[in-house]
Amino acid sequence: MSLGDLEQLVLLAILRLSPEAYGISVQQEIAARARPEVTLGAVYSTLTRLEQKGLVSAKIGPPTRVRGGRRKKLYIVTGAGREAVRESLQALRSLSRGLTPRLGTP
Amino acid sequence: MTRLGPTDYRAPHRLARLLIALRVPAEEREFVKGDLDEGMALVRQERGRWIALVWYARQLTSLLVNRRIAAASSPSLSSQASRNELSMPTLFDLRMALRSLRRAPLFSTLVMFTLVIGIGATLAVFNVVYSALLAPPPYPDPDRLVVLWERSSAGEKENIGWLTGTDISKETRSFSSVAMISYWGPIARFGEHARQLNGIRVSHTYFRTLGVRPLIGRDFTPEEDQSVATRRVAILSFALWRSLYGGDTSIVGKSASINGVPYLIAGVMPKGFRDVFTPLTEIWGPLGYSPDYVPACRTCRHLRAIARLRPEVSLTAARQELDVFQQSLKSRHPTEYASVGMTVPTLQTETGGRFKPSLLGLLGAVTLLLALACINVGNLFLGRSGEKHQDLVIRMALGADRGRLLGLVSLEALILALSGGGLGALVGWYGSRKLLTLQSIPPALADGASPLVPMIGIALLASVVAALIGGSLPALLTLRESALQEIRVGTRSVSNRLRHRLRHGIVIAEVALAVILLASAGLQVRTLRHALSVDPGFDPAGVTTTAISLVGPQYDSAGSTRTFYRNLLGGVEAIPGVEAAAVVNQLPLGGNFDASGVHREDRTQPNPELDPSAQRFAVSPGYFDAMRIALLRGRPITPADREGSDPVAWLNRSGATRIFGTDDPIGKRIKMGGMDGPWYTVVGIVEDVRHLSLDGEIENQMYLPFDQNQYEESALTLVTRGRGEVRAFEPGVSAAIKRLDPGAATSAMSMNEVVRRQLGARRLALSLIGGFAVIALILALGGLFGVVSASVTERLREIGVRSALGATPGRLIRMVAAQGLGLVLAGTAIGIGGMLAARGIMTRFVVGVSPGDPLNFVGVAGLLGLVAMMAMIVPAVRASRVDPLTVMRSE
Repeated sequence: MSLGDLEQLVLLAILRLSPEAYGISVQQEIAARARPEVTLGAVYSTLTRLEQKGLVSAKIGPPTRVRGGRRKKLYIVTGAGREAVRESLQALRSLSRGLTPRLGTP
Repeated sequence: MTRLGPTDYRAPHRLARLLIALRVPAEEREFVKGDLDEGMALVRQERGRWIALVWYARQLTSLLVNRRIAAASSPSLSSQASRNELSMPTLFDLRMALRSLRRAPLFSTLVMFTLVIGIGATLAVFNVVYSALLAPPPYPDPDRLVVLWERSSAGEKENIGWLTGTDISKETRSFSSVAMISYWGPIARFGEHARQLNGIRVSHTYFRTLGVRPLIGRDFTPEEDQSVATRRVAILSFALWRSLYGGDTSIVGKSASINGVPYLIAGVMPKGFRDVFTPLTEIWGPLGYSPDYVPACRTCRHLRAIARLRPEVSLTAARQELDVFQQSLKSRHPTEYASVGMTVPTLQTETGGRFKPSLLGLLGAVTLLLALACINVGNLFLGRSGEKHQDLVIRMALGADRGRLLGLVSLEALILALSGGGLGALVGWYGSRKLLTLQSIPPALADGASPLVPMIGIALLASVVAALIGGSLPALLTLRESALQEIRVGTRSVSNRLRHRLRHGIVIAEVALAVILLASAGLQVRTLRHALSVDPGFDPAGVTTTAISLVGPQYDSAGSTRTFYRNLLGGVEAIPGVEAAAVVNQLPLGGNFDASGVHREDRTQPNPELDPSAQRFAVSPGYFDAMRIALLRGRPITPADREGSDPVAWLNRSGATRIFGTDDPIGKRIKMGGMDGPWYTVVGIVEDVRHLSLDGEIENQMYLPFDQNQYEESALTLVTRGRGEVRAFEPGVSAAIKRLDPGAATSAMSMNEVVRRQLGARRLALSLIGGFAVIALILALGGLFGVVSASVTERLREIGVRSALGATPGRLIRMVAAQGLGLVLAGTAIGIGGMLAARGIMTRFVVGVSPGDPLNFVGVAGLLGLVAMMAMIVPAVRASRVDPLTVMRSE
């Protein structure tokens, strides 16, 4: 299963944050490391799509004061999700192999 | 990630909660709200409150435009069901429209900018007009408040004397209370600093009549209003109280030094309170008139009067009663009334009426600007629709629903229009605050009464109209044609021709509106220049004026103020650089209007009230020299014209002719004011002086020596003419005053400044209309530029062929320019026609120049033509450089 660009980033962020991966923490992680302009709305629709594809699964977390006593929806990457990330990273790696000199140093 | 403390939580805004409730499925809301709040708290901690607010708004928007968060089944565009569902613009469309606008930032900015200017300016002016003309005065039951004027035999409104007002209050039954008002410019001293305040003296019934009470402290009492001795008490405006005492409530009941004597501060008015005739009044004091007080006489017509109608009395009944009552006054005091009844307008008519013409003129100008802005938005959209055209055509060819496409394009226009309208409303609100605080727009009574509903209405209406013209019309033009036909005939389709015609019409309309605004601005410039070129009758350059107020027990004895001024002039004339110095009781153009009746000895009337009146100037010997007022006949004032010697007087040129006709006034004797004063022999004629305004009629004027004045003047103005810088000898002047009386309150201003202030309102009108005209010019030329460049782009092939067939660059430039010039000429002709048609209305706003003035039109047309040329140079030169080969190849 091929992954969209943002889907890939969201999956990676969830993996990094686990088990504390939920809407705002995922958005902040991506904003801090890759895409400063990413919005919550975009993250939500990606999460919804990933859930429909069976690449992530959600469970309800505990409420906290800073959220006004509201609970979190925590996400974890499913087995299929890990497989999809692995595949797409693999593809990236194999396609970019040997290109580093041509791309220049970042 | 930063850790947050448990106290960082803040509840989301109500609007945010509502939007989330609308767009996020119930089962997801808790998590979404939680995420938003947590994120907001984080950003606020790291980057501050404002960034956090922006962040919040952005995330919220992203939630709304991203399709439903938990949409289990994404609706497919091809299914019939979803197509029906989507025939109304949806949030998906909204997102599409936003994206499309973001891709054309210049276009979006231009549209917004145009709307913000048009709507902002309109609302600012509308708000002022509303507060001044339409809003009821901000007092309880404002429709029961009336103004009382005596009616002169010529039908004019005249102020009333105190005894007349008192009689009305005692002997008529129509009013629950009556109050009289006199101007007061006390000089207050606070520490080292002395300042002249805007004040009025009022009857103790004044605030009761208006129906207001002081915020803290108390109202004036009848006892305080009894005599000059008891009236040393004042009520402050909220603003004055805040600026002088920092809002210290304990100041009430204490005393302040006003005009050099202690005054008791009785109270402070509420924050929003604005006075009836002089909204910027800072201080009120009791009138303190009594029947034996000289200025209280029936013929001393210097007071304004307001009254409150009893609840059961109609305005008509009150007018009838007053007319009858005035007749009875006249029969009781036959030599003291010339008037034939009373004029009783409502307070609202009275305060609004004075400013009606100029404000309505401004409203007219700004309405033209708004129309121009809307049309210009239409033009911008039409220009863009050329680009969007192919896009729409392709979408239609792919089976897109026409209604939906129309909705989409209109949605773009609506987004821009509404955001432009919203911003414009803010700008307008801010602008009207600024305008209302300007002193030159005095009747800003309705401080708290913001016409919110009509304002929003105007903004909304203008936005929607602009959106319809701009968005839907071009889209309709495109959609009229079938998609296939469009592609076949390429760019030269029927809809294209229509669009061109529409754009040409728009440019013509824009030019016409710009011509009208430019011509109006031109007329305002000429009016102002006329006012400035008027010879005021004196030479203000180099003259410093110093208002001096002498109050205190040392001035109670007769002749003491004369001793003061004589000593003062001696001191001032000794200052190096001073050429001439004098004192006068009222300064020309200084806002005073002290006038009294003039009675000829050789032609007495049974009723002296029917004699003419003249402005009365009491002056010291150097006055004509200091002001450079030309002595036309007779002799100047000398130090010998003093108390005890024969009383003498001077008349101005127009006054002498009006009062004496063909008789020679020199040597004749006159009385001034009441008939109990001495006879004055006319010994000279001087040039007319502009006293009330620069562009009004010249009134009768008479001068008498300060020493022969019947009144002790406690307030006088020192005029000093000096060589070189006006400011240079000012310290010397104020030191001379301080040497004589350290407690004398003074306030200095150059005579040029006095004249300049006279023109404040005209300058404001000019700068507003001028500003509108410049904006109009820019908009019209932007439209012209757009049309001409688009036309060059579309005619590239034709131009290429012409060039290949040997057309010279000059010829091509002429061809392009001719098309643009045709539009400019048509617009100019229509604009001038409009101006000529509105000549009757325009006459009211101009002085010294005819609204149909050909020179003005020539100037406007010339300016427009010149700038139009500049707008067309770029596209025309581009046309001349077209390479035929490139054009052919690109086809």
